[in-house]
Amino acid sequence: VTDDVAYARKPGPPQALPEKNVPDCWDTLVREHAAGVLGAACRVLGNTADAEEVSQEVFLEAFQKWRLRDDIHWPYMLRRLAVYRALDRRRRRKYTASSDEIAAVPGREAGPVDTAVAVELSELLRLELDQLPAREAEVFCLQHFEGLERSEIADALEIKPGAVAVALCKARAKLSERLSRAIRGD
Amino acid sequence: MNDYREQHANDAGKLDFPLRRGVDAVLATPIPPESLARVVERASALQVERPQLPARRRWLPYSLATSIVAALLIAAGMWALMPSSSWAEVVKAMQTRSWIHGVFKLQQGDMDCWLSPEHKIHAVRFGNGGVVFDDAKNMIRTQYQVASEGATGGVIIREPLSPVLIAGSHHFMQMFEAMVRGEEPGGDGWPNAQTVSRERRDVTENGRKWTEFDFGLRFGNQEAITHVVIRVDPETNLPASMEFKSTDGHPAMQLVLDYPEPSKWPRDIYDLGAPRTTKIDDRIPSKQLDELITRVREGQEKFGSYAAIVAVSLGPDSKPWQAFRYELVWRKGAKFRVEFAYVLPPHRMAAPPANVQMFGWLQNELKSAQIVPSRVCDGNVVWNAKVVRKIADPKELAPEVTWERLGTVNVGGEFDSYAGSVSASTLPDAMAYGMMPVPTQSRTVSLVSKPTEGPANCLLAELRVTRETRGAYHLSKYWYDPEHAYFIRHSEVSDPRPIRDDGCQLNIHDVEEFARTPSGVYYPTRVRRTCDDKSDQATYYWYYVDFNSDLPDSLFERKARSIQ
Repeated sequence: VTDDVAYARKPGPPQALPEKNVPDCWDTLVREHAAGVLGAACRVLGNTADAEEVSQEVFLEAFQKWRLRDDIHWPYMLRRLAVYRALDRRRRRKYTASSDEIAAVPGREAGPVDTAVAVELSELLRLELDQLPAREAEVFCLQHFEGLERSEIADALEIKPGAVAVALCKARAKLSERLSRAIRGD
Repeated sequence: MNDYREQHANDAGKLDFPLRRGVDAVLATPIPPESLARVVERASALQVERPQLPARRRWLPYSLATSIVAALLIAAGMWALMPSSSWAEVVKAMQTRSWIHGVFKLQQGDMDCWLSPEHKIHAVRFGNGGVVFDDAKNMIRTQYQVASEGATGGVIIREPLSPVLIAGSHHFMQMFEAMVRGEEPGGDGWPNAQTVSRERRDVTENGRKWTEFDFGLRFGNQEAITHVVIRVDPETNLPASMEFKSTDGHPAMQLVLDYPEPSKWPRDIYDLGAPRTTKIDDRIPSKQLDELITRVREGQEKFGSYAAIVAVSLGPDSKPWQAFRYELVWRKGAKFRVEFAYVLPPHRMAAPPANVQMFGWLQNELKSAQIVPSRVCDGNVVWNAKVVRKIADPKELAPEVTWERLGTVNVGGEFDSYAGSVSASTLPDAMAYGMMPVPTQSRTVSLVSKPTEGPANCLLAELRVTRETRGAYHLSKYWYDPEHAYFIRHSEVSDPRPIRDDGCQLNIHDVEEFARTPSGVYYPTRVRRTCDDKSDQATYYWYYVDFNSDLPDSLFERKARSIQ
């Protein structure tokens, strides 16, 4: 509790992605990117236990690539894998409406009313993401949850920036409309 | 298609409400530190040598260096089991030496490593001059980091040698100790290594005779076989070198060994080349801080079991019977249960009679409240209740829940008792003793004996984040009260960076009233929390604690309801 929970719970954009591309050893890669991978999975899943499992899958997959390839931009690759695997897990498990009460408990860093509303909104947003086509959900998460630029998303997904823009715009429009409707209770 | 692109360009990344609030909320998703530690530990276990990346790899990683030495020792142990092998004599010879020194001959330069199971020290000096010196006896890591290119001076960091670091790089020490004891080494020193071949041969090179032991290893499910060739001096029976050769064509690596005399044993990081004028960043707890940590730990241990009702109200004039929400808490040792109670319209509490015992009064009043389970901890695992509900109508809060594993508690441990599992303000013991001011790899702790601000006669512990962590507050300040069993009287967590529209850059918890437990430690009974110093928007926490409540174990089972 106290400050470590505050560390973990204080709102804010994800850290800027490190510039360093290929780490010297596996241990370095893990330590540099574990928080990013776990964070990306947590943001999509809203569930720590599942996020841990997804993180393990991501590092296992990354490990296979790491041993064989020297041309990978690891920050993008790992974030992309984490988001992709987390979205995939949500779809496979058919997540139901849920609420992570940890954030609903007022802590040392957030007001209770704000937090309770925020929890509801975040869970609604995740549920609506489940309804989007996979590519749109992935692009949306990479930009708005992981802070990647359009060109970086294009690199990570190996698609054209224009395709990213299209997917992003569609995703935003759908999410915005569905979220507003859900809050109005329509 | 063009419309989408144009719209996107004009949009400039802005999102409408409520989507923007939803994204903000997702960005605030917690990442429990213990989860991160587990992910790092499991992913690091995959570690092996990365094959042939000469253009980018500058120095052989520390962990690899130590692991290679470990391989030597594993080999030593296994050969020792062969009765006809002269390796037994090699082992015997190595047992007489306190220190092993090795030099890795690499394309990028030499790298030195020292190992002493007797003194429980291992150290590495990298080709760029950097040094890591681990003293496992005193659990201290000293690390000399050279200045980056263009900068002046380096830094020496002294920090506690954590079990995580030991697990990552000290397994070779354990293997060597096992070998010295004559035991068969286990497989932990070199994960997933299988012995596929053994060969002993005599060779002559430049007129000098050597005995070579060729030890074939397969790592994991790799096809390639790595041959560890240990060359032994037949006169001393001591290994002189070890070479790593892989069948998949990667360049071989060689470790040249020697056994330094006592005058050349490294006593500290300076003996390995760190300049004595280097600035020291000492993160080892001072005696005074050590005392504080002990007292805080005692406070946690002595707090005792209880049932509590926490009333959360908004505004300076609010009263506990006008709370926004009530939190019902039961704690028995490391077990606890948390439920939320909502008093929904048209029900409202009237002011209590004068001199009433508030815990009992509130308990009775809340019988008509809507109860929502939140957390249950069975003493180890914390379970989160997931409740199906709709945002628009709180009346639809349903008692049906599913339970998901959230994490584990760490009462009395190195860091924070309930980190990542429940909020500090919910549990009176967490508010009083939840924060253990232990310096870590990612934060420093400095102690101010006579702070000029905050409550009088308190010790101030300032925790600063040294390694950027997503969402981490840069500075956390805790005022511990020595006159009242070192419970936290006041705390401030702050960050100079703007966080978000409705977020806080400065969170202050001030204990306005407190009480003593039957066991002699203290806890808050009223806490005022403000955000960014907005006093008129303060939140108040009122703690009503009963230390004599009956606490059957069934309370801590994963059931939807405890009371009604």
